[in-house]
Amino acid sequence: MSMTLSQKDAMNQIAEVHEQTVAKIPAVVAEKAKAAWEALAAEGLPAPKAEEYKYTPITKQIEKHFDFTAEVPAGKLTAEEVEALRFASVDADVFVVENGVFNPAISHFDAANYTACSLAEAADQHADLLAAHFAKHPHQEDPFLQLNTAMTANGVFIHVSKNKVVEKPILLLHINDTREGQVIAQPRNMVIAAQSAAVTVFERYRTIGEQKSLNNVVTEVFAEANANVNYYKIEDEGDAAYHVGNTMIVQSRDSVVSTFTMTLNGAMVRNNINFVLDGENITSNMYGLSLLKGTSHVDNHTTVDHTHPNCESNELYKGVYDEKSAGVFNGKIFVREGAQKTNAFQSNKNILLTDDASIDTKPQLEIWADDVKCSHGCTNGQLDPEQLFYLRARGIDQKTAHGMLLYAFAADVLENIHIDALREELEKIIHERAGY
Amino acid sequence: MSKDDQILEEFTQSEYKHGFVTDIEQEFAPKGLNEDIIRFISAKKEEPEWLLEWRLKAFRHWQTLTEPEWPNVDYPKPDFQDLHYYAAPKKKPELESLDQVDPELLDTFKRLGISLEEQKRLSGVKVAVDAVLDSVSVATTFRETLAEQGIIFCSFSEAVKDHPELVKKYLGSVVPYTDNFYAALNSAVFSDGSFAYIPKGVHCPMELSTYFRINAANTGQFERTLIVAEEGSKVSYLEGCTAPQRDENQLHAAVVEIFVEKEADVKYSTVQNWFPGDAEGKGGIYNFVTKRGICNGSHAKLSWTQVETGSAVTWKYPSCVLKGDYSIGEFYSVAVTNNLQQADTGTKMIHIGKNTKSRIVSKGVSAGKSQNSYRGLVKVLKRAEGARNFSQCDSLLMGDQCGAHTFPYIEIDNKTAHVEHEATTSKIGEDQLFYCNQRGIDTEAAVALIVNGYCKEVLNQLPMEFAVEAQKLLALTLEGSVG
Repeated sequence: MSMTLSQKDAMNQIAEVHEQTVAKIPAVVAEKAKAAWEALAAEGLPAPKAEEYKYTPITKQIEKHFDFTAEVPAGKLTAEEVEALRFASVDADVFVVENGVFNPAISHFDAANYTACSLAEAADQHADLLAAHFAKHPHQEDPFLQLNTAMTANGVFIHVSKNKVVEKPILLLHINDTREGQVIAQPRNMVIAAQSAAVTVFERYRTIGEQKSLNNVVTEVFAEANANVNYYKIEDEGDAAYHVGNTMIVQSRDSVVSTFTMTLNGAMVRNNINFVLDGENITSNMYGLSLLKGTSHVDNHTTVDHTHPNCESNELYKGVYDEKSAGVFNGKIFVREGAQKTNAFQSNKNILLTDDASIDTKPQLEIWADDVKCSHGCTNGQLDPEQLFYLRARGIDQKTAHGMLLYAFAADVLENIHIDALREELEKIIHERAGY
Repeated sequence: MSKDDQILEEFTQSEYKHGFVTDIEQEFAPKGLNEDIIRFISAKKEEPEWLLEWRLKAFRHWQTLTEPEWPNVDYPKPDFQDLHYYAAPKKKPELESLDQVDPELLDTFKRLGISLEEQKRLSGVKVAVDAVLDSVSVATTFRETLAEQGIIFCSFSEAVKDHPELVKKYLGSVVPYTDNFYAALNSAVFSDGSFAYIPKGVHCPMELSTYFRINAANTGQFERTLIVAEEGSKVSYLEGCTAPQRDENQLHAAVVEIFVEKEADVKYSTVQNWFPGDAEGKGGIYNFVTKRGICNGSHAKLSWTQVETGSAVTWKYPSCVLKGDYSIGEFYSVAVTNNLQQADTGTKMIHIGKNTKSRIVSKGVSAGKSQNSYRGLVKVLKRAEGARNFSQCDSLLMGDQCGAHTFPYIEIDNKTAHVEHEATTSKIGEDQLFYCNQRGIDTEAAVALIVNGYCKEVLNQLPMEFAVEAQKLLALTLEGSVG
């Protein structure tokens, strides 16, 4: 692949930082970091026409705005600020990742029933666990995933041991404090649910300050046999925040993993969710909701890889695009040879509110087994004029009718959130956005 | 071996029934591709200077291009210097009636079941066949009847000679030579093809039809079809393809351009049955075709219907550019793959005008070890107020070694667009088969019945005589393949 001059510059910068990083990190991780760097160096960051990043020219933005060699400011978050940036009504163990690094000083958690520490500590205290899971997802092709692996920063490590059920949600609160200068954050989180364990993790992304920030985050989730994991990701970053997230999920037999991705703001946001179903009788659920305005851009890529028989995956992504915002959706379902009796369903629904908003969507099915039930559906349009008329005919004014329909469209995805307090907070946000 | 396997085995071993070679002396251009060859082709066909220039421009552009890699197919790349770019039967007949056609040629068509005499005698329905054997048009029937109405239906070379102003105006207007790798190659070396012109307000009284045959070994086949429908006219055009069995891969890179003016209605139907290669994937045709039509005026309508059962490797995306307000584009497709066949086909619907509508119905059937992909684009441009699209692409899998893939691209820049896409993948249900068996219908007949039902939405779009042939072809292709 040919690289542009500026891409060369960016790659040179990354090379420099990679060298420094590898020298500092534990051997378990360093080996993977080197391999990832080699793969990245060969291909480079996605070129403008790269199929996977066709609609999201994030490489261009990174080259234009970011300097990888610049020192990331430490961040000056106070406990009060942290409280203001999370949903205070949601009772949770709070882990704050500040400018890409886990900061225990402003976090508060009791970690009853499970193990929690920084990734660096995990390399010390749980070296076997880390070695067995770090970068073990079979799909390591994404250039930003490779970039994160090559420059692994210190995220949060969560391990729930066999048969333990963690009742209290775990909040990974990622805040970029750009008051002192631009921030490039590349945190790496890991959640391992051992056999028959259950846990709910939700990530929230916020920004403080007006300067630019880039989040290149990776969260690895492992659901071992019969485990149950809920993973929610709520993005509400600044107008100058760029975000690439890779959520890498590996499921073993009889496990259930449900993800929910909600994007509310950000300059350019890209979410990759990659499921590998490595066993039989697995259920995977993916839900997503994007409510965008301004010039925000969100790109949701999901991949579900069915490798074994008798599994099920469900996917529902919805988007409402206002003003000049743009949405991209690509849902891939692979059903490999031998993955018989697979049921895979996918649905993507979008509403455009203005002529300046746009949506590009590509639901994709690739199937190599015959005894399967797979379907995908996709609808794009505006609010149904007949539904509006129905409400207007009953004396509801235009603005309220519009808001009610938008709320109804968006809110049904929230039913899949199992933390009541969180769902109520999100419903409030939807009410506010819908103007009803 | 279970019964299913046995039946599958029988099916995969069924021979290609159109595999025979017509022994007619051929005149070849030397192998290879360069500017001299293009001059040779052009001179052979006594073309005007402007057309030669156009070919050369296309060739120079082609040299700057590389073969596309994005389709979901895998095949050894053809060696473009190892092909003949021109082959013509030496005994070029001067024809006024069918009696003068080389009897061996007539026999070829007869064995394909499309004997010209029979066609002529088809009660009630008149079909004009412009038969193309390799590169030179050998017979055109019913031309006089058509001429009375002002309709021009002739071979491309004749059109260049007799109607240069029309050809010059429309050639490359829908598919420019810069469009893609194979369109550029075709523009440089196209050998012959068909030309149809329907004047203003004329409804063509019969189906226009052309049968392509690839005949000589190692001959690239570069057909070029141009259809122009003037304001308020209407035409239904049929294209059918069968090719005899060969061991080496043959390349077919055709271009079809359709220009639809205001309130005109064009229907283009294809039944394609190129040789798919044998059970080991040996031989078979590469079919890399660019087909596109433009609805240039308001209320224009263009409908593509295709039944694809052949080719070792196929890429084909018949497309509609919906430029006129209220214009309509349709795409109906059945693609059947077996053995080691690979197909990557679909459509593009580009909505430019206001209140444009498009409809896509694609039915894929994969059996054996074949890979069948649907790849489609629905694009709604910013000023395409009120655009409407509905797409449905279903896949039917038979056997556990084949693959079905869908890559639908949807790009929307206008809020009033209403775009829906649905896709399902399934196999023939055991209960469906059981139901049929129980009523005394054997498994083979039941499979044919179920597949025909599954494809009905598309087959119904075909003109009568084509529908019959397509149904036979499906039954033949799917003989004994039980999911």
